[in-house]
Amino acid sequence: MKGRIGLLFLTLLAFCQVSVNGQKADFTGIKIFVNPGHGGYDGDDRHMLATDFWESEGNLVKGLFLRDLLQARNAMVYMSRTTNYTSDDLPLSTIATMANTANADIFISIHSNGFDGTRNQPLVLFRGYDNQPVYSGAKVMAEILWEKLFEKSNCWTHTFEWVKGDWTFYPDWGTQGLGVLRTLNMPGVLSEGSFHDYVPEGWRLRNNNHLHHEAWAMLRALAEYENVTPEPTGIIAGTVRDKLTSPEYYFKPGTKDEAIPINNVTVTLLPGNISVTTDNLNNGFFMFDSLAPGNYEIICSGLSDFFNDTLTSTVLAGKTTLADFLPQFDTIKVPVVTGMLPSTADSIPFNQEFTFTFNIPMDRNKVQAALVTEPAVSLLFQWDAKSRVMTVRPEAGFASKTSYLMKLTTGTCSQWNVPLQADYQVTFVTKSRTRLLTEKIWPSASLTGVTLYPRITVCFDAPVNHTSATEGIRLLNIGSVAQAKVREIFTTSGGKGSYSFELAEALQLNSNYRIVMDAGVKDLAGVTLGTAAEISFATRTKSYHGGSVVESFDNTSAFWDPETSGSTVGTDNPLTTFTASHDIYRVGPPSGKLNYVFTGDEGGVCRVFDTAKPGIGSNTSQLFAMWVCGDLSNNYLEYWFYSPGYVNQIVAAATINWAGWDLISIPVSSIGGSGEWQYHSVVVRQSADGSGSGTMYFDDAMLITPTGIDDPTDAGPDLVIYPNPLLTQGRVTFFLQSPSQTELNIYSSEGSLVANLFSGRRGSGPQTIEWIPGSALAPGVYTLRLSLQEEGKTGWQHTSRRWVVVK
Amino acid sequence: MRIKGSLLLLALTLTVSAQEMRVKGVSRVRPEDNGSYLLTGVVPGSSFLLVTGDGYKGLSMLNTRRGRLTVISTDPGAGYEPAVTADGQRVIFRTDNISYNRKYSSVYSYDIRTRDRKLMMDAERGVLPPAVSGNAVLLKSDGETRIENPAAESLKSTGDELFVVIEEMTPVLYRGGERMPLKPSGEGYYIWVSLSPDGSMILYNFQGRDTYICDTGGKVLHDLGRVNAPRWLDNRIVIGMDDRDDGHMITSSELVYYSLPDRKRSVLTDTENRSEMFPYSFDGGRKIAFSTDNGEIFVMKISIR
Repeated sequence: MKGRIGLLFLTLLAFCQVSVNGQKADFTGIKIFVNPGHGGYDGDDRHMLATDFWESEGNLVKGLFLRDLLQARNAMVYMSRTTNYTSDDLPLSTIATMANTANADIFISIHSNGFDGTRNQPLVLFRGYDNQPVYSGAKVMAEILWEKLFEKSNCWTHTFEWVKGDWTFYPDWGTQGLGVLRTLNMPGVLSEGSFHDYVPEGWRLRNNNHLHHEAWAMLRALAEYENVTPEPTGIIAGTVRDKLTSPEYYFKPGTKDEAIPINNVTVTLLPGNISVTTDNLNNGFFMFDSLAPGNYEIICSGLSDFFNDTLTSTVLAGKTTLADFLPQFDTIKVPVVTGMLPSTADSIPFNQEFTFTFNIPMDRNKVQAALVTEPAVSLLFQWDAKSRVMTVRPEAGFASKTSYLMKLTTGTCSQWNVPLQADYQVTFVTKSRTRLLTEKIWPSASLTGVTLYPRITVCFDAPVNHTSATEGIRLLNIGSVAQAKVREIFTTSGGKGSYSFELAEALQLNSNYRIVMDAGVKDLAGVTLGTAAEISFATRTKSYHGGSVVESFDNTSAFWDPETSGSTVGTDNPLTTFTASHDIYRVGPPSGKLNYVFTGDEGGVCRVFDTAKPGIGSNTSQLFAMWVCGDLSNNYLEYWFYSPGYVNQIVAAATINWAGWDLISIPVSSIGGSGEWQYHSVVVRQSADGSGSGTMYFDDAMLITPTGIDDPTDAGPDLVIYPNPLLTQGRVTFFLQSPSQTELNIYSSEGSLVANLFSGRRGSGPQTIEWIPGSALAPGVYTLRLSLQEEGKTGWQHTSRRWVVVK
Repeated sequence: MRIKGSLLLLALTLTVSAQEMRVKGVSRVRPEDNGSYLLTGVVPGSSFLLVTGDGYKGLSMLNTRRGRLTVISTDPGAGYEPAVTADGQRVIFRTDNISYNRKYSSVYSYDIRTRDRKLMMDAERGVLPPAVSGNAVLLKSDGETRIENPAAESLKSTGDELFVVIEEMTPVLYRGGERMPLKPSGEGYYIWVSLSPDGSMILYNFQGRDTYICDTGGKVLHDLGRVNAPRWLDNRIVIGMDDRDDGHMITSSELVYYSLPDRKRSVLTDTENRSEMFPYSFDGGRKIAFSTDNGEIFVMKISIR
């Protein structure tokens, strides 16, 4: 929404009649070709996962608005596209030919930029070298445009003038340069208005007003370039932000983006009483355009926790006046407990978590000190980023079948020292608990094909006593000999506990092992398992195959932290890191260690960008593999590649359902695009049922050439499902070393057959099968089962994946 | 005469059932200055190509045998769609002068034998690239339209020439003094418009998508599919390019051709390391010249069966 003042038409009219210093009153007779870059959501579009921003959309909105502005000023405007379908993605040579045929005076190609997620600044390119433009006018226009783009915002991470000749900017391309400028017969520029992979800017680019603001900047530049009288009106633009809170995505410290934008705020302009509302797309952006020069008041209101705020702003003709609201929080508000979970008071589990929600940010220390339990229990506390939600759980568990009182006294205070008006208390009774429960064991019972370097992991419903676990949990080989443990780890999370260890020696190939647990293994409260238990598993049947290493992970300085890698979203900034590990590695120190913490329940993306971008060739008969130390998180592992032209190609490598080191491979043929690929990133994508945090290690990425004699993996078909969760259409890929009878079925969680995707013979090589769930299929967790029987052999090999269907 | 010739060509077209083009060899033409050039035309009846520099600055004739360059013009825009008269004696070209950031264009005639340069239209706005029919030239600007014959002493038009140009992105057919706008595919942008050698068909690209052929009345006869920068090889074959990009740079380009008798589009080249672009046929349709994305010029010998 934009505010406009009718009075301005008179002013505009007056200016239009005047020609000062040889300036033209408007664009009459000038032909301008506008090219909104890319188009059609296809392979060469740029889609930002973090913000769901499509560059083709942003470019088009800017272009259409620029067209309207220019046509209103009597310019003859030509556009290479006015819609956004695949058919609109015209060849660059065709676009240039259109501009040539139109006999345009000036050409402008509209884009946004992407790099590493940490940068946001305008870049304008022209054809030629920096100081040797093919058209001198193009460089003049580029410099003017850069200035207009730069001055319209105060959210840049870099401030130097960035105007470049394309031959200088892309030295690897020689004098080929940008395809759309290459065969123009008039001055042309390519505008990269801002960086769409810098998440704060990506959110702003979802806002139409922000896109229109960029069109205004382009109009100003064209007016100056064509010596047209500057606009007699100006713009007030800005953002509304919460200065107490920083976003969870990356922002450059010290910039405006350090404060999180506020959605759905009303901003009112006086005089004129024009109101606009910020959208709900995390940008807090507002704009009033076509304003007569003069002084204005702008008021932001409608914020439940903030005082209204007023700014004064002076509008100058042909300029944008930036005005940012940082409204004051309502500090005299009395704190209130607005919610408490669980709502039930009976049969509370021993490790129950309690959540208190307050109406305003609280003083954490005072709240924690003011919380008492009777009988007394040692508590663990956790807070959300805004200090409004406090989570409490017992350190060692509540006692069995006991009545408790939990009370927040009036010592509970807000951040501004305003106390709770009265005690807030709840009572509950815990349920009976007689046994320590084993919730998960990995490797699970009867699992086959287990890596030779596993981390044996047992998860309990309570934090476990260290000594009892160390002594009472063992891994035995087929001869009942206990395997020596190394790197034992105990964890406590969510009131639960786990015990895991690695082995001093690699396990034997194609062998059975047993995990044995004594009855006396106990939790911190002394509750035992009660009965002994054991499960068995079998290791892989074939040895690992070597390959040519393309990335050793020895130079971790070549890798960017996830927050700066672009596309990373929903991670805890300081806690998510990628560092060198000199104690845990697979093929000589160091390995790459990824600590990640997702801040939401799902949809987080944690990317580690490898600046070395090693080439992996174009041989589609090879496998790309990497040693990965899994963390049983059930999140998804992806390998990201570039196909020629730096087009992202994402390959789902595995669900992270193992612990310890394993060689995770994908067929090179599963990488999209063609030509010489480059590996550039490893990504952990959060799944709906995945852990919110974890630690993984990476070592030696390599290319493997299958020999057919000595399989590189244990005949695993590299079964990959994508996407997961599945919304409308999914893809199953796997690799057959030899022709096989193949069954591909989907089963419900109850085990009933839901769909047969394929049944019959398939030849060797990479395989792809699509699946579109029927409309009657209920959302839920399904199991995809691939059954293979190699020709000439008896027996079937089964591989399964869990597939979440959401609708 | 014209009608009889057309009927003869039509008869030939009907009797030839298949037009399969084969590449007999490709050789690079190395300009004597080792410069990078864009191919922008050919001189009929000769071994000369017309080449230009970046941004269509300058226009030269390139001898395909020795690589010798003959500079016709060094002016800005001179290399954009020059035309050559049917006798192969005169190159007609437009030059651009950007004054106060607006484009003004002139048109010149260059005599290949005498190297004389004559001004045909001086510094006007909206000047179209010159169109040639036989030896006659159609000159058009925002304020003027005229037909001249630089080869004739009187510089007057005979009045029966057929020209096709694009005005405001729409094809316009000029037949004698009659002006006939055509919109064979409806409203939209038309580019790469040209008349077939026999003057019976018009080749064009619509909206930057498919390329088509219509008759001179605007009736669509062929949908060629993706054939960019299309040029007539003869009345039965159109050559062009299938260029691909990633939105920023050209990633590949291959030459393609469309056979009218077969109503079929075929691929002429399939090379991984070379992007073949902007083809022109010459030497009686026995050769195709093209340039690459990095400014190299090649000549391809072809055979048609």
